[in-house]
Amino acid sequence: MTGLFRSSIVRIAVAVLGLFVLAALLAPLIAPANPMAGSLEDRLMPPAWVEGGSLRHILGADDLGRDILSRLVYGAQVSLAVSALAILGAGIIGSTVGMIAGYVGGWTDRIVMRVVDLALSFPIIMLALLMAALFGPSLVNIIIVLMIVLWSPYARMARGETLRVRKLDYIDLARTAGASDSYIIVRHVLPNIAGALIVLATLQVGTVIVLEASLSFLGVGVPPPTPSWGSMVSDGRNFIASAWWVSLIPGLAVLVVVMSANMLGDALADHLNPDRRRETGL
Amino acid sequence: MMRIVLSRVGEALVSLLLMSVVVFFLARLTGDPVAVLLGDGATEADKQALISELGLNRSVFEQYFIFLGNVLQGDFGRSIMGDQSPAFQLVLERLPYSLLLASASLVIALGIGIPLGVAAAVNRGRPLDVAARAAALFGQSVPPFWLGLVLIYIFAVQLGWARTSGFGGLANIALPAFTMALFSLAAIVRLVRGAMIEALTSEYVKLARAKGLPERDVIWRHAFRNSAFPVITFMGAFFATMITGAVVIETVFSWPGVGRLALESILRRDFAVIQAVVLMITTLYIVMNLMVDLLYAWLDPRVREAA
Amino acid sequence: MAGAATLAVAGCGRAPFEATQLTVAMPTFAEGTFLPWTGGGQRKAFLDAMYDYLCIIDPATGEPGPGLASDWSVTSDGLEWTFRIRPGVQFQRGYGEVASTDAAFSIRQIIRPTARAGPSSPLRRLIRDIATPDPRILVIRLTRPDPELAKGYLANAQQVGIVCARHVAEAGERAASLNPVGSGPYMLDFFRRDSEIRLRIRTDSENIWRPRPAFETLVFRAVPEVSTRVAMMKTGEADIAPISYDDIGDVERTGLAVRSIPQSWSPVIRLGGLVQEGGRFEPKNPWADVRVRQAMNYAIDKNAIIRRIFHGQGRIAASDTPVEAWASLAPYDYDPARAKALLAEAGYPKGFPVTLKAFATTPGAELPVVAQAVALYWRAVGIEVSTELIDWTSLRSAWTSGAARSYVWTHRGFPFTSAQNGLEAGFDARSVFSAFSTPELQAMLDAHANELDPGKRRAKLTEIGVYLRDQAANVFIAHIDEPYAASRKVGEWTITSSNALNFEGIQPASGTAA
Repeated sequence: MTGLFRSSIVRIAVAVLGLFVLAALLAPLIAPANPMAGSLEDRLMPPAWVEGGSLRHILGADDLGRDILSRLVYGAQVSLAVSALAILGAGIIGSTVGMIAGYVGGWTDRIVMRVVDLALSFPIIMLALLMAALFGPSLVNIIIVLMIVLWSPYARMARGETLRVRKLDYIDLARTAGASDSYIIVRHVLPNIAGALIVLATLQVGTVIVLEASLSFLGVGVPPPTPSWGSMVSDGRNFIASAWWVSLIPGLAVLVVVMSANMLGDALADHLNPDRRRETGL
Repeated sequence: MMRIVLSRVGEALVSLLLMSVVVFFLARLTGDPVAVLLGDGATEADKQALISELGLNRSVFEQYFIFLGNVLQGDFGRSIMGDQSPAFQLVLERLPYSLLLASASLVIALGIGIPLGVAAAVNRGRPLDVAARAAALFGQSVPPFWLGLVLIYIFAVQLGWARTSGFGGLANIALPAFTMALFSLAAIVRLVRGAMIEALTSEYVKLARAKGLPERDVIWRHAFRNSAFPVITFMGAFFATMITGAVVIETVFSWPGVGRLALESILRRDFAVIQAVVLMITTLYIVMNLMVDLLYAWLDPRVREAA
Repeated sequence: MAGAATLAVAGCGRAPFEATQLTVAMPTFAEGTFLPWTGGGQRKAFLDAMYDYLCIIDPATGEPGPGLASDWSVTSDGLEWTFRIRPGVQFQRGYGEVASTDAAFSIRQIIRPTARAGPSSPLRRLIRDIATPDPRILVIRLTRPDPELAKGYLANAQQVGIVCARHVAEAGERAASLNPVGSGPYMLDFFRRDSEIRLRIRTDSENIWRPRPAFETLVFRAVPEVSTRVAMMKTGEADIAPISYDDIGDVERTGLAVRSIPQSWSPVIRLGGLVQEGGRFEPKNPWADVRVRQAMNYAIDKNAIIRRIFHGQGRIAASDTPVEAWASLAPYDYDPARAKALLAEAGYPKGFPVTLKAFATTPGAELPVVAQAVALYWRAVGIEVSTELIDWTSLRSAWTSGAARSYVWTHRGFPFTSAQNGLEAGFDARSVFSAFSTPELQAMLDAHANELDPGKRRAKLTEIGVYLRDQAANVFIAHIDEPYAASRKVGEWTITSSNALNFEGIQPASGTAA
């Protein structure tokens, strides 16, 4: 891992991500205003450096007169937490299922892989819409929907890797030595495939944030007034020509974070195993 | 080879059957169809008549098998909207538009993504490569609805090169197809670049170079041929991305495809149409993946010989 | 894929200028059906060009004038209406002269149990029977007196378009819907669901009895995104489109005109659990106390909402429908101190929690934003508001079943040509969409409904308006205008409130005559 940080791209990516995580954690200290409160008198006020702007709202105000900078840092909490929880949950479920399928094989494997296919083929956005129609839009539902979307690639990858690892000599040794299956999976299989799973996770950050924005666009995203980057971009879409800052500023935050996460993912993949790059291209 | 075909087709059929179960129960959960179907002036007798007409008084399992039987005959029930058209017909009406848009996007994604990925790999580390990678990262980081609206503003309003929206000619399809393609295009650039870099450093490419073949032949005939596989593998995933994006893109560009039909039927709790749309889309996806699998098996000598 | 590819036709660049075609971009075609009874009133945008109504509202007076009915009379008890059908009006496609049986058929379809038109449910309760003693004479008998039947239900502001009965009987309803026959100036020429509707002047144009329309073709395009509609206006792809209030300045700067439908709708917050009948009452809600309801009204700076969200396109109001008799009713001022005092007086000095559900409608895309603004003001006086987005289907079933008792929600009021119809829909305990009802109010409504003397009716109506205001029956906000962008092709265009968009009556601007 030490070699990884010699690349300046990786250093920048890590610094950017760290900065945003820090901003999210310190949101109450950084945010100049309450992200949920606003004044209609400040509606669509431009950023401070644009004519008509004021230092009261350095990055401008949205269509309810709420401070965009404050919403951006509090939105970072929501967006990053949603991404982290969804990816973590999906990663745990997906890789557990995948490792079991790959390790046990046979019918278990076949059934699991059919379910994986099914999850891949279900039109995700329609599932999200259905869930919202059923249970109403909420943060928990969004995380669940995202997990349903995200878990199957982990299952696929974990299964493939497990199949490969299972044939290695020392696994056979461990088995003959009387180690239990779960012990072997946790102690020998998991460490072998962890790298690939982490790469996949970093590459999914973009998918999650963009998908969350699309859900907001369709009216089933993070429910207002809670700020999230996706809902901020979506709320600002009607002002692209007249008040660009409402959607462009959170849009830039999305862009910077997703690009950093992807660059980090790429570098990690290169570092761990140059051959595996193409499998994680998505 | 025949065994591969049969087992793949069998797997696809199992997936479809599982899907029909999921769709059936999800739609049942979305609300009381009787309340939605009846007008405000309905009496209790009307209600009971409709319940038995729809078979809602039977057990859920019976209901499922009746549903399955009807679906196999192309009968998904009727929409609750307006003149209560058959749900299957509504989906069929829209399908050509969705297929047209998805195919145009796929052509754009492959047509731009492959050459760009190859060029980036060949010029690894040079400005072209950096630019291609940055563009690919951008493509995967931008929300499609936002991109669509910005493209409308630039290319239709400011430059007048394209139509803003609606179905029609090339000028109408250009922007939605590109917006839909961008995410997959970015993925293809990254996939092809990665695979090409690997191929270009491999022994057989070195051998081909040593034989004095022209560089263009080395790149396209030797290196690229082996780099094409990951693109084929992910073809099904690209297709799924496009169908998913369709809901958003068809709304922005008011394109008359199944995406908007799905959105509107979900908002109206029109469960017959929801079932028809979802099953139609998953069928398409599964068939697409089946074709990719078979194409893969046919192209890859290792798989072919193993069979 | 080959089959799909043949759908594409050559097209390029900007739309060529065609003075004889008018393109309207609208957010939705709603049900997208072409028979009056198979859907809601949003379809009137295109149906009005194809069908005639018994009466036509005079834009100047708001009173009904002759339409397909040349004249009418009502018995002194207000229970029996007789309409004389205008002679010589021909249906399209050679289906012959419009007769009273066609009108009777069309009304019967509107009130059949499965019909989903807006006025279906109140008309069903109102109409006892319909008779056609003569091909020119239509008699409607009512279950209770209604001196405003013609104005309120049978004019062009409502949904009872007259359809050719023989055509529906011969073709069947589904086929008739896609190939409709009315007596209006335009015929359906092309339809692509949720995408495009093209109407063309009827082939027997000598049979147009209304003022002859100026445009040969009316094209309607369904464009859900408002930004896309604005873009279409700027490129010339559309001639008319409803736009958002925030786009008004931008659209005017590009040289397009903005025409507003006056008092087209009214944002309002309905409070659950206030219908004292049929299991819809919830006395435990803080807002069951009138002082709390008044506080919820005083807390909101409604003028700021009009100015900032609606860009001045509206007037503060103490009702959710513009009724002439209520025009001078003083609305609740913005007085947060008074709101806090009232809350304290009612026993809620620290406020109380409430869920505000919001949904977007057409018009009324701003309702979720209005909800957020209302939440900001309520929080400022201590009410802990959590907002939620909801879809209309869910809310509708919660509302009509009585389940919507413990929360509040955004809604919109409509202009009703007959104030009585509006009251019956919104405040009569018998209505499924009643939002507030007390025995006292019910008695006032019944007294008004049974009063036939115009002067006394007006006095009773005013009394009801004062009562609704003083009781703070809802959180009334404003009567809002609805802005439409119009291209240079659009000349004289008479728009009135009450749902009559009158696209078929638009005259081309001088210099671009058809």
